[in-house]
Amino acid sequence: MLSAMQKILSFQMTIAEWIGTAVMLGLPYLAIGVGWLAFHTDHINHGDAVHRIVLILGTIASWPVLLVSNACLT
Amino acid sequence: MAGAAGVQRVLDVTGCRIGIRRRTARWDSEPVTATEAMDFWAFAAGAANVIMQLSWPEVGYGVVESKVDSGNVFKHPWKRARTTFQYLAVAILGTPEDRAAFRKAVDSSHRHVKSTVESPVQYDAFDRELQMWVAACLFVGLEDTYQLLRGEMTPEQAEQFYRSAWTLGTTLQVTEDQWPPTRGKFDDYWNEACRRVSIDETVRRYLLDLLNLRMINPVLALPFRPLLRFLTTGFLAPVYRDAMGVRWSDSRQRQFERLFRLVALVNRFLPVFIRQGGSYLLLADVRLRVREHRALV
Repeated sequence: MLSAMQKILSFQMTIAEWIGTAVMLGLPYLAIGVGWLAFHTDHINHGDAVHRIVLILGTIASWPVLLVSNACLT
Repeated sequence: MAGAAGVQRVLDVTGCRIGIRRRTARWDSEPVTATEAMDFWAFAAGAANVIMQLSWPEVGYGVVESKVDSGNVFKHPWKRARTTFQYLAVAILGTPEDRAAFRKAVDSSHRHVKSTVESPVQYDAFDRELQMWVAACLFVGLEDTYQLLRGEMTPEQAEQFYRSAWTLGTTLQVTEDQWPPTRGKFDDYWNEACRRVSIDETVRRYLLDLLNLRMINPVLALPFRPLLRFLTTGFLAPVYRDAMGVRWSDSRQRQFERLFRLVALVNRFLPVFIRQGGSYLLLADVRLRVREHRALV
């Protein structure tokens, strides 16, 4: 058990591999965010253009929070 | 020599190995081992490697005439794919115990692979010279794909890589002293061995069936056929292209090199558990089979 832990903690990756890993994890996250946005558009229909863009991006980025609570993005 | 083009090639490195004009740059000069060559893209060279191995008539007829149905690629294609990749995983990534277990399993199949009086050539799967040839083909395949993905090795790295790949043969009956002692000497062995390349109509038909993916569902096979043909021809050195009677051109060579520069770039961003995860899963399956006393091949 300890040796497995040591193995994981001392595992080395290049910066390029870290970037790739981040992209691979980020894409599904963004996809779910966009999906979430598609069905929850009520709060976006007010304010000016800049405000709307902030709301759209905020909704895509914070879908896990919005899943459990109805946080106010304005 | 049916299927061979009329041109007699000089059998040196340019005729016997693929020539790459532009490839990805080398990023480091750290020591290397063949384990780093196990990225899944390397399997793009798989079919070409089978052609190279079977281009020695003794190996070609050994496979074409084989009565071991459980290892027949046309009868059990997925199983054959698993056992072939598992051999590579065990030979390169495995422990001596893994290798001993796999050797025992392969030996039990190889015992039935022996020429009969009707065979056009004499062969025996335990022939160490034939096994050395197959191991040499596997090494060439790994070296070619590794350098396409990671850039050309320095002479020191090439030597380390070569030395670490000997288990490709020693996992079966090949002995260490059969491997040419240095990477430079390996070129001599390889060029000499290429003189024995001769693909007759029987073996050629067998290999073309393989290349046309006749063993899997045609609907599944159809979209992959052109790609497999392109990759396979690209990974064949001129002497094998001639023996198979397949065409290649300068523009295709440029496409091939461009494709692998792109693949190499993508590959640098993939963590090892994506690049080599498949091989480690196959290795884990071997260990599970050994523990549960189930058949390996």
